Amino acid sequence: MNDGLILGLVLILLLAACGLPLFAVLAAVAILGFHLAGYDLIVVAVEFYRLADMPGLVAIPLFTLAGYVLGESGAPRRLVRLSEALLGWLPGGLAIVALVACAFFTAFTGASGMTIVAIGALLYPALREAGYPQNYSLGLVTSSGSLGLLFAPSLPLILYGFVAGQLQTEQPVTIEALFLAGIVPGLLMVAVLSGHAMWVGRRLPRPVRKTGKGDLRAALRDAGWELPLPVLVLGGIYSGLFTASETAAVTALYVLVVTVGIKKEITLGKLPAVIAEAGRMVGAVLLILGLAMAMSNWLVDQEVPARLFELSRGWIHSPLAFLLALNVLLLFAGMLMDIFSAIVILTPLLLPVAVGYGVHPVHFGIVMLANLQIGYFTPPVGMDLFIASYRFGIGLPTLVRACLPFFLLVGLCVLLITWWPALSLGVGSLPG
Amino acid sequence: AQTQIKIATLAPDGSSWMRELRVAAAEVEAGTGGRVQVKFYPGGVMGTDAVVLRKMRLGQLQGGVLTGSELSLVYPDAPAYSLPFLFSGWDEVARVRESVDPLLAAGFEERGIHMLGATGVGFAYFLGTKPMADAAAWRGLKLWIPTNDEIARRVFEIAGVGTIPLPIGDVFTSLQTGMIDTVANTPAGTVALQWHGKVRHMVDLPLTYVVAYLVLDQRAWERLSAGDQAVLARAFAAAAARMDANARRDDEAALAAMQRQGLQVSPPDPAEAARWRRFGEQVQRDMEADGSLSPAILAAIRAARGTPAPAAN
Amino acid sequence: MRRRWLQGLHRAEDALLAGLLAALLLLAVAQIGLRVLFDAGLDWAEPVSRTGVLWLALFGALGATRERRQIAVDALPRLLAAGPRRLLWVVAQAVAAAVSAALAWFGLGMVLLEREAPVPFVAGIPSWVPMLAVPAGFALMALRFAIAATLPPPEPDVASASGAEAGR
Ligand code: NA
Ligand code: NA
Repeated sequence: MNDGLILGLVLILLLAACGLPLFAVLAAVAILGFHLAGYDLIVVAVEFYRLADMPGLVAIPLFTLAGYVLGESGAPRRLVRLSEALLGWLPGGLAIVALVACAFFTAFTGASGMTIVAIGALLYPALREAGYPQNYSLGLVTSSGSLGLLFAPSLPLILYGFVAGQLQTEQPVTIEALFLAGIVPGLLMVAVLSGHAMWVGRRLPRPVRKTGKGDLRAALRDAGWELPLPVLVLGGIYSGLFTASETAAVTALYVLVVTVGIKKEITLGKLPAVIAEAGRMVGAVLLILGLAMAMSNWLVDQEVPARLFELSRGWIHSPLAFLLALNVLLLFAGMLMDIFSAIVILTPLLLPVAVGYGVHPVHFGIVMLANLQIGYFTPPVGMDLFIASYRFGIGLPTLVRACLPFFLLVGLCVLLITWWPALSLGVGSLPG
Repeated sequence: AQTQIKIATLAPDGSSWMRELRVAAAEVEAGTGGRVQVKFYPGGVMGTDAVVLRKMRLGQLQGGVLTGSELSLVYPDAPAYSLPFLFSGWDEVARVRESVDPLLAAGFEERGIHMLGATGVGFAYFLGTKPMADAAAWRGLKLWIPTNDEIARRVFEIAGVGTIPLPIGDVFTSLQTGMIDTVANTPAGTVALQWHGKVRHMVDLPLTYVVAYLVLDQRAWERLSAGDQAVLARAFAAAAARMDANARRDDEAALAAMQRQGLQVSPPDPAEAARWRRFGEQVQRDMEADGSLSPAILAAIRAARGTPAPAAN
Repeated sequence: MRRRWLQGLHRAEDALLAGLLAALLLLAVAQIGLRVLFDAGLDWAEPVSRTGVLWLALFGALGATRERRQIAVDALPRLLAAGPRRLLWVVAQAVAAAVSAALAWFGLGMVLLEREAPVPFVAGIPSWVPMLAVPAGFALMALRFAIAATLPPPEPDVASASGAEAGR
């Protein structure tokens, strides 16, 4: 590496720390790199324009649209009501309700901030009232903001699919394979946290009024329109009836028809504002995707991942050791960056190295997302800590303490997911 | 100073093609005393053909391995060899290419592109997830054709078959997701691009001869000294010859492998073969008549083949 | 007066953005309908849809710039007092404006390059026409970042917790 490059990269990193928007950070790295390589800088625009070459990219705007409309509707409330009728009788039932509802909601919105605000705010008072300790309740709503990232059709999962797909690994990465691979690891996290919830809630008084068959039926009727969504998403893809982007279209259409046409929770007058809001989120994400491709092309052009692999082979000798180092690296990355930034920056750098060690690219994606999920509530700067602190008016130190047990439990799951590839790949290898 | 020649290709790393290309690169580096270094970007990492051509003009890439249809936008005669049913077999191909390859090279040069080599990939066959026994079976099939493949577009328009144009790099995903279910490709190409996991049926009717050109940006070529140019030309001509020789064997091996995995190869129904042959000949006549392909190239091909033009109906 | 004019502009921009996303949805739904019901398709739908996604990316990002929703790693500014935070804000916005302007310039170069060797896009439109969105989008974004540099930074609350992905 020459001095100009190092100096430039340090300057860009400093600007990034000052809050320079990520797309500009990526663009600056690409511009610097291509300039030093002596190319006409129009290649940066040509690379960005490859966004229009990605088959199925329309899945990102369409799933995001579905998530935003769901978030604006009464779906969070109905979801909580139904989970309560189904699971409320268990020890720790209400906490499990919170976990399940959060996971479902995050899978569709991908934006964990929305989950804390929409569902956490609904459940935190309920948890406190039911006698759960304050620290447990706080930790639960804060940490489960990111639970569900591994479930289809979460945006980070799709984004990883596109970034990794662009790298043309020998074992291909498809959105469909990722959707399958996330199921078991995601369920593992929900199960472990549910076990913890049952332990915490074992002595708490059960709801005085037992939920009867009538309540369940009413809740089912109430949430009847949301229930088919997971079936629609996974079923559409795995039956081979729809592609991922077609499933996104069907899902968005379905959600729009239900919330605007049937439940009338969003008026036609308010609808453009909601769609535009989704459009802005899509714009922000796709912009960084496009410029990440430019940066990643510079990395490929200069054979950086290959050199990184050569370098790391000097002191990391086994896939397991590599994965452990990866866990540590991703924990830091997840704490410092938001998940979209981490995916678009680290995938092109690390995936070729991982493949060099014989790690399956789909497994790598799941490990990466699971790790980054912890980053959301890793002190001192995990994003969900700030959102929860603002939303519940609780100081950061208290929140950090409250999240510690969750950090350890989810961390345990991440280690399991890392070292046991079959958790991710077992389902994915089914014929499909 | 060292000159880098960067070449993008869709061929996956580890394919027999890449092996031959890397051998040529090593010969170039040795033959020029390290003055010229040839680097490859396999697996399509540099983007689709349109992107590769843009990057060649911008100087990020100096060359690419591209098919005739991909190059047709730059040089309309590039896909001439791929006219359907043009060749009866491998021997005829060899005879024709000996005299016509230089004509194509001259045509490329007029358009700022240096043709370093041309490699026969083999004959393409219909392959699909569903049987393609007769005209009725063709209804409702989702057939892929390469973007900007004018010849394929015309054939299937006459045949009344709906097509889905996509860059070749998108075919794998589209087969996976069911966006397309039928393709035309060589057996070796089908395996190399990993499409074989999806296709179950093949019609044993050689449709068209597929050829890939290794092209360089003319400016990059001219920056090399005459001596270095000669080294490059020799190394890549030898590589192309080896790849040509391998093509037939690779295709046979790939077909056998696919059949072991359950590929059903059905002989074409004679009426069905005649039907497709008719469409192909019609397109040949049309493209010659409206000047889409230059008469000089077509005449040279026919002269070398020793057969007259297809008679008009 | 100026405020009313701006609001009107923003509303029109939102309507266009929503219209673009809705059109992408309709196109996708129409494609599925044609495929499932009639085994047919529109051959222009795929290129138009892909280009539409690119336009949406630029147009949506333009809106995200307006709403201060661009994704940024803003851990440091969040820990600072108002004065230094303002300084960092001005620096970040000014650099973002410069980078956007550079991208607009390279985009223009790409359009001119494509005009030298255009290929058909759809319905007789040459391929450089849809590319125009790149220079236009980044030029407008540069303008917005330049304006933002002169304005005070947003309060570090939920709305800015992590740009676009934060809840409302
Ligand atoms: Na969640
Ligand atoms: Na984070």
